[in-house]
Amino acid sequence: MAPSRGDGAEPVPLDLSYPSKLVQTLDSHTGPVNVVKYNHGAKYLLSGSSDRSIRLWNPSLGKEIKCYNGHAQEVLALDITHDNAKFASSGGDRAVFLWDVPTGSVIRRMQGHFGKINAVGFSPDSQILASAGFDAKVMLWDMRASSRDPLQTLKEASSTVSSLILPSSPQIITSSHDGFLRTYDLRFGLLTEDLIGEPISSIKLSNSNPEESILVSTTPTGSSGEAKGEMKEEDKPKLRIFDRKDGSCLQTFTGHDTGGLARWAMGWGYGESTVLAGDREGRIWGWNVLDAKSLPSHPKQVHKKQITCLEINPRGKEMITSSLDGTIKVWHK
Amino acid sequence: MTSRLKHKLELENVNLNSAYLNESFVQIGTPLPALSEHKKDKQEYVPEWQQEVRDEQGRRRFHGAFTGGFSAGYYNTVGSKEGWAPSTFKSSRSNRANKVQRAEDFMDEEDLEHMREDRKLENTDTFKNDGFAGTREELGGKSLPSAIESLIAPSRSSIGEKLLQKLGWRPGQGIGPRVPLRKLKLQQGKLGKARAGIDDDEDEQMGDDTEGSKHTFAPRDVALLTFDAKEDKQGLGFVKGRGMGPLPVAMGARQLDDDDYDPYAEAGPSSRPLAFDGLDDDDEVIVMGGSTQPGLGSRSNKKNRYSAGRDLQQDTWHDGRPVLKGFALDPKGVPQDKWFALPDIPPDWRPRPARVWGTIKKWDQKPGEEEVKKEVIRGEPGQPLTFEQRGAALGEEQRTSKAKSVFEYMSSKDRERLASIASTAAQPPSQSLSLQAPPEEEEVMAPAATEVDIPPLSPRTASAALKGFIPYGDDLEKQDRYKSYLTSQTYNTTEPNPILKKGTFEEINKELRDFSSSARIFRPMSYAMSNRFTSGSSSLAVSDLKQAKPGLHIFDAEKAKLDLELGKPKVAEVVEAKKNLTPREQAAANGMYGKMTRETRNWYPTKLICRRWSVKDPHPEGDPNLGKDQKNTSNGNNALETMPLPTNDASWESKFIHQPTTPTTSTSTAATSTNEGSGTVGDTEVEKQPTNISEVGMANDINQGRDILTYEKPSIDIFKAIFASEDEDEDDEEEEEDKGLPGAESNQGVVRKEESSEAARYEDPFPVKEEGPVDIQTFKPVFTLRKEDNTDLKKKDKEKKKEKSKKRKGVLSFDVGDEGEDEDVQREEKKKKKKERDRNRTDGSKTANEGGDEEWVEKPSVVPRLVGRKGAADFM
Repeated sequence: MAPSRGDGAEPVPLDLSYPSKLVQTLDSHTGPVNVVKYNHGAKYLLSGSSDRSIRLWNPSLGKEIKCYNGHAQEVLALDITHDNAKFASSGGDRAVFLWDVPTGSVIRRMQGHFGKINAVGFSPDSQILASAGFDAKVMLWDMRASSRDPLQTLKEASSTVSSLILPSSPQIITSSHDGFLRTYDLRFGLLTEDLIGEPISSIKLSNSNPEESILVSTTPTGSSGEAKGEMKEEDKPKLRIFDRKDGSCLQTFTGHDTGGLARWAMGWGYGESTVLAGDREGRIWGWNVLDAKSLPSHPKQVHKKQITCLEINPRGKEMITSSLDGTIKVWHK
Repeated sequence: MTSRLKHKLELENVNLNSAYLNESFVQIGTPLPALSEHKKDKQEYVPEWQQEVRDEQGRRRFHGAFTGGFSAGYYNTVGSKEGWAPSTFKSSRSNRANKVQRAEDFMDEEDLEHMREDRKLENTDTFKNDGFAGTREELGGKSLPSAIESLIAPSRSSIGEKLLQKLGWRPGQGIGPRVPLRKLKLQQGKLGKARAGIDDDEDEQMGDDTEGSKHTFAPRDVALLTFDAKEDKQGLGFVKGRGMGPLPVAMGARQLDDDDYDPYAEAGPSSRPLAFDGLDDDDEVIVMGGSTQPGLGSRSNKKNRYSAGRDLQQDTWHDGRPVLKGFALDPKGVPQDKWFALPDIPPDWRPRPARVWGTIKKWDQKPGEEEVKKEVIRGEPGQPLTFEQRGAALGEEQRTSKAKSVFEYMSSKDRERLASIASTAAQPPSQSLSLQAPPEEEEVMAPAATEVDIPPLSPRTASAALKGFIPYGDDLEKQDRYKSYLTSQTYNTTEPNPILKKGTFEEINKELRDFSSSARIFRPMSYAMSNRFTSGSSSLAVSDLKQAKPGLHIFDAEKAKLDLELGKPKVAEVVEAKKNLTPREQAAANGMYGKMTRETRNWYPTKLICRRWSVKDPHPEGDPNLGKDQKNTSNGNNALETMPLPTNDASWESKFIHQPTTPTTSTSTAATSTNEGSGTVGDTEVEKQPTNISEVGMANDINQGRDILTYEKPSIDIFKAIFASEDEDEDDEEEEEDKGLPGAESNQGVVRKEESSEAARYEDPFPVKEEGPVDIQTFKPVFTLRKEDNTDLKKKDKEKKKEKSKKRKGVLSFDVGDEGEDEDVQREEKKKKKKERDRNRTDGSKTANEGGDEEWVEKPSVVPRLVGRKGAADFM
């Protein structure tokens, strides 16, 4: 169900709930957990942490299956190939690592960025790997040949690229701290730039309607001398749903305080009737997509520190949150 | 330098050998080599990477990787290109080689050189070889041994010694003029050397004074007092190895008391009063021996010894040196310093220095009195006073506001007028809505909004914004409020009061402010541009300037208060400076996402990426920015024809105000077409349109300068029409007449044919379009591209006109292209044919001529036009 303006009166009462029963707490990481990612099939979970390790979990059982050591800096981004045989990770060490899942060895290191790499992503058939980060570049790597250099470097961004998505359609969607949401369309050879105006921290495509709506979170650079309690309207972090067709804003959610950090968790709730986000206190916020009102009995305290990543199982029964406090929590409905 | 200049001049085809180029005006310094010189200037500066490092033998250093690889290891090290050449060594059973290795075999050049140097013998001392001693005559006069000695014996004399010897000094003498005996004796006494054998001589010599007065003597040599540098850390006078015993207090006293003091009288040898005890035996012996000598206080000749002996005995320092004459040693010795024990500190006392610092600032200041601070006009040493501080110190009139606003430059009348305008503009719409607010609160909290303050918007902007993009698509109520606000701001509005949000005044005001800033994007371009300029006369007219009053200004409190009150409304008027936002950024800041914030342009993925994604390459022709030139040359005329007309940038204005009935704007359609994206793939026109009106002419206008870049030089005919002189035209006419002379049919046919072929090639550059009456207001001359216009071709007389213009073109001398040459050729052919024709005519083939005449009769329709010369107006 795509959120659309106008049709406020929905006959069927929406299911606004999301998994909220804590079943497992995965606390093997010895540092802040920066990213969690379901594999394709959503049975296993990969987590990357500032303790420089990547761990593979079975979240529902709460068991750690494997630990991948090899990074020299924190791990900030992960992505898994379509066949779940390999995964790519990146972070502070300015190189993208391609790992073999069963053996745990690094197959390839892709070097070329000169800053932290904030995001990696495989194309749907994993022939292309995109990486982007602090150096404001998006590099596209060929996964079928092991050349040293990227196939193409997209240099449109003028500031840190915070996240990127390679949806099933031949597109590359990137978000940058320069306030632009860029969509590179390969079919038409068009680049669409949407100015959001504030530094974008992350983007999430709608699952049901990836061609139409996208969730964009912005974290304005906290203007200096601003007291934390009295934030101006424009200095608050915001979540917006954009119509990808014409770039208009469909809904805006605000209210939570992320403490000025660029990385904060957000995501669509199951069925996309809700939008969830974590704040710096470790609380989880939920909004109704239709009226942008906070869900009742929110925010909820779930972690001790800022929530960095939030993943919802495509089947909707499970949710994973990771936090700066080093734990990953598994929630069931 | 010269070479570069030479090169430059050569490029410009300047004769380098010309005399006046090589004239030299150099007066000082080294002139640069003359330009005509062919040799390379050796002193010319060579950049660092071309400079070569050479060693003292002139061999090149640093071959190696940076200068050529192969030569590494050859030039300066190995000795041959092939590498080490092994020295031949043959040895057989019958003929044994007895190669003896020497040390030199293992030495390199430097070692050998070192060895050679070592073998050179040198003197250890410098021998007498001084120029003073060594003129040839002197040497010749000298005895052989002395001459040899002077060569062999090392010369130890310094130059100073030599000079002194030249002046008559001999070693062992003192320096100074020669003195008589008596003086010499005095000197000896002074020097204390009298104590030795001299005293004895004295007595003897005293007798023969006469002899003594006859001679003068060289003064006694005086040993220089040398002061050794003190390098240890011991105290003064301390001698190593001797302990520091107690100073004998009665040292001098005893001797004073007892003249006949005899050291022998005492039993112990160590009773000698010396400053230090612990003397070793050597010293003891010397002292004792000294006392046996006649000079040292012995009684042998007591009489005249008394004074001298007294001197000697009493007045010697501990190291044996005499005390200066006329002085005596203090018998008491050096008084000891007095030391006092520290007072008892109470056990519970704690130092609290802060208490002391706090009370007294200066050492001589008493804790009670405060230092009266002086008024400083000069300022701190490092920080000079600002003019304000100085003014305050001098008691000058204070400025009420530090930053001078524009209003201060206005005359008082203007200010009043402005204030009245501002008050009227701000009030009327809000008056009716204003809720009663407690007046005292207003006074206390001025910035807190107590009433709805509707920000004014110019009616033009408001109507433009209403027609433009309406933001707040996600909040319909807000959108309605926005619309109502805009309608309230338009001209002759029917609903002057906008719908307001429910909530506090702050919220309402904030929303309204947002609305106005959103709508301000739609400000017409003339406003946007006019904001950037100001007329020089109106803003700072001389008459408006406040005349400075001379003299000292004294602060007047009442006046200042008045000024303050006057200033209040002004301050409200001054708009606070904001960050400069582009319209796009402004739109994003106001949440007007959509068309305003979206921009689409071409993106060129590499081919391999497309293949990996299994997508067809959207731009198979590649990035046009990379191969633009090639494309242009290949496409040629096609590219020109597909090019759109230059956008008429002035046309937008009418869409806003003058034609309120036509709501759609070309830009909005353009924007939608871009947004559809898929429909207009690769449409170059989309790119060329400005994304929105407000960007036209702004910094981010993608079309900026495009017209200039793509401007094509108008056809040469235009220049021709305007600038062509009469003569040329007349020539043309003559030629045409020549051509058109009644002649052979065949000739006419040829001309015709040519004309028709030319007609195919040349179109009328100025096709007259059949349009209604031209509106002078809207008419703008536009250079259209050359296109075939069939309607024009139909008209016969126009065709003829065209023929004419075409012919002209053929005559043009500065036309470019091959056609011109072709024409020339053709014309020559024509001329040939004409000559033939003439010949035929003279031959008398009348019938042909008659036929030509018939043809000629038709022509007159053209003739009048030929007579009346065409001007530029004819082409319009």
